[in-house]
Amino acid sequence: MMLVVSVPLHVTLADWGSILPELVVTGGFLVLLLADAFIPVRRTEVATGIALLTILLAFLAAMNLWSHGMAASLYDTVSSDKFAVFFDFVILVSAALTALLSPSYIRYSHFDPGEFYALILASAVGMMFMAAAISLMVIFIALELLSLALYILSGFERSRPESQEAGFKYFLLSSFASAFLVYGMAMVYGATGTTRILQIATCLGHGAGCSAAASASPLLYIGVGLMLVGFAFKVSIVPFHMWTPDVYQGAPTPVTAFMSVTTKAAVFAAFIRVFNFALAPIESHWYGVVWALAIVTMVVGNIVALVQTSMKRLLAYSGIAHAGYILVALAADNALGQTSVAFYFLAYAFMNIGAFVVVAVMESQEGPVGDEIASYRGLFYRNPSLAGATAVFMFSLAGFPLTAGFVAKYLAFSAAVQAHHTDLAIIGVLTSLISIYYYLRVVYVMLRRPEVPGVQSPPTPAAADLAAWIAVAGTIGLGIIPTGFLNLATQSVTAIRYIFGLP
Amino acid sequence: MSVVADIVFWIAAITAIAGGVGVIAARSPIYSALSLIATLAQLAVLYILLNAQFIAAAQILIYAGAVMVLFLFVITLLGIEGYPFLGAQLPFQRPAAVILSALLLAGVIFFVAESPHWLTGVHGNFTQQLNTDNVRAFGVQLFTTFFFPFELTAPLLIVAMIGAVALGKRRAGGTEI
Amino acid sequence: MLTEYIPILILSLLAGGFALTNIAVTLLSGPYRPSREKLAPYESGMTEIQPPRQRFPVKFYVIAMLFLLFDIEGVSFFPWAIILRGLRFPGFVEMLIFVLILAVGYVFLWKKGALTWER
Repeated sequence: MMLVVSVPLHVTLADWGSILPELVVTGGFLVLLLADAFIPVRRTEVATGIALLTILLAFLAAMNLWSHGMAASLYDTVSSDKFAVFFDFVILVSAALTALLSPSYIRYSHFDPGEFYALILASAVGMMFMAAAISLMVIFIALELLSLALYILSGFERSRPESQEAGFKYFLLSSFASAFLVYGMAMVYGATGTTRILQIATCLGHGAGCSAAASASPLLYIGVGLMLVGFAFKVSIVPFHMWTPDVYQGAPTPVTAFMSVTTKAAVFAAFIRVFNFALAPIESHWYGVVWALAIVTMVVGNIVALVQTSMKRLLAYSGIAHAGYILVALAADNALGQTSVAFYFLAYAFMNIGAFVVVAVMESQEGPVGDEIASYRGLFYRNPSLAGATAVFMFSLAGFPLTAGFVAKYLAFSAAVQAHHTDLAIIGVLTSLISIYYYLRVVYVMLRRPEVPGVQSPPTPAAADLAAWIAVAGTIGLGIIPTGFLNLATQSVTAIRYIFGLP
Repeated sequence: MSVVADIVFWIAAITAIAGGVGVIAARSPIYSALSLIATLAQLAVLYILLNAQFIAAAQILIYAGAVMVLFLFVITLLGIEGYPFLGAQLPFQRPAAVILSALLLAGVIFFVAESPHWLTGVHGNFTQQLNTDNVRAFGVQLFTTFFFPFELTAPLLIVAMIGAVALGKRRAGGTEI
Repeated sequence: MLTEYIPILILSLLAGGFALTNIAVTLLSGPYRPSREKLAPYESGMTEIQPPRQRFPVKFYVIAMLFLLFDIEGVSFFPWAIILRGLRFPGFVEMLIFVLILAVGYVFLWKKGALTWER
């Protein structure tokens, strides 16, 4: 007997509209693949053009969504709230800066430009969906999408063993961490009976048919612990940071620039949704662990950075330290903390990608030694504008006033103070003081007289130059007049808190 | 019925464990891979006993089939013998492995003995679950509630394809690995 | 419930039994007088010119990887096929989107030459 049970599927056009920026980037990704297949995109300019156009269109779609969006859609798996859209902006800006920085590197290393940009866009799709995910399922699949593309990109430079090592190491360790994350998600699902973030929060608050047993079951706490490990690995929090320096150093520099900011942004967005919102009712249980992780991360990241001689490794440990500062804001678990995380990533996109633009330019001019901090000696005399830009990024990463980094750090630490976690703020400030030493050492090396005086650097490639100037403008702009962007960040956080009934 | 199920369970469970021992005890990696196929196939039987037919079918098709083919190709790609580091181990590896496995086993026994309910919380009725049409239930969930994550796996698979081409394919003028 | 699997059981017993019987019959019925040449790996009667156990080229790996990906695609059709009548047209469109996206990947592979066998 054939029994037909109706299984209605409710998807409307508005559902698709709410993920329009992501769809645009997916479209660009597929177009690039087809273009690469039929008219082999040998000319880097064509691939760069398609990628930049896609990013621009997605940016416009995101701006449109900012004013109209804010609804959960597609069976409550993704949300187009302003928090997600704000992270879309961060990811798209980073992708655009990366696309400007890449062409010279692609030519220099004989990459297939079509595949390269396709993977960058695919990774961006994963990141945007991860930031918009309100279901554990989407968080996981989006994370896999972004990670898989980044594994391949890390090992993209097949002629260089370091790149292959980076790709392989990142793949092995990171997929191990993904396993932790998905195992944790399965356990949280087992304990709460749902994969939706809003419903997990309701369940743990003893609503929606959940008794106190659910929030007391060991399954929940094992799951939360495993998820914490998974998230912590992906944003390189100590003691799960071991992969970071090797991968950052080995991966092609544009890839490092891209992933150092966007992976952290996307994962932290999901991290906040899960820990600050879904698991808010059991905050007292996870707070202690996050507190300890934040302190260890800030201390280890900053102290190990002191002894680095490679610029990319220095920036890797700096990235670990910054993950610690951001974790302080997450631990604060208040509106200001979430606002500061959003603002932090906007600032971080400009200053950190800016710093990697400098590394890429140095590598293109001096070869592999361009990564050594020693090779920056006398840069002020050889290439004053590049050295000036480097100084701006270093000052901002160190958190000097009038730069974006200062505002971001100030917000993160004041969120901790506001939440009565003064200890975290004090350790944050103290470790930032340590960080001044290694950031300023770069500036000092650039100011030293060159060994061979009177030599000028070859001109910087125009696109990379543009990326550097945009990054400088962003870094200083966010530092001097942060109000407008801060307002956007506040709005985005207000939107997500409203969904969870928080002020 | 339940006696038959018990017999099937014990045969499958013992074969699965024997396969697992074979994976680590076999001298040649090829035999390890073949033992792993035995384990994976027996796990599929266990899934059927749990009324998870779709997982069982996927287990056979994807794991015992495609993934193991990939494994065997990787083993032959690396060469079957002549890798001295395969036997290399850390000085404390053996005791550490014994202690960790003992802890894991103790944990599993503890959780099972303590009553599954304590661990699994309050949701779900196992007997009721056993009597549903599992593949249909899975399909309904996958193609309605989780239809978006499902669609999202398509780009994921494409990225994996690009990876296979970008990293595994010979470049024009390049050398083969 | 388990009775549904009896045909599968019979099939696997037949398959295993066939293999075992063949080995047993050969071992028991044939004369066994080994020599160096007879024990050598058989390669169309020719003398072997190089050791048979060699590293496979990486192109096998690419094919296996692609087989795995399309296998995963294929597996997702099973639950879909069971409920397709209930899903009606939207369910068809849903799978169409999935398959079309993967078709782009397939075209990419084809045009990139990933499916051609390099010598």
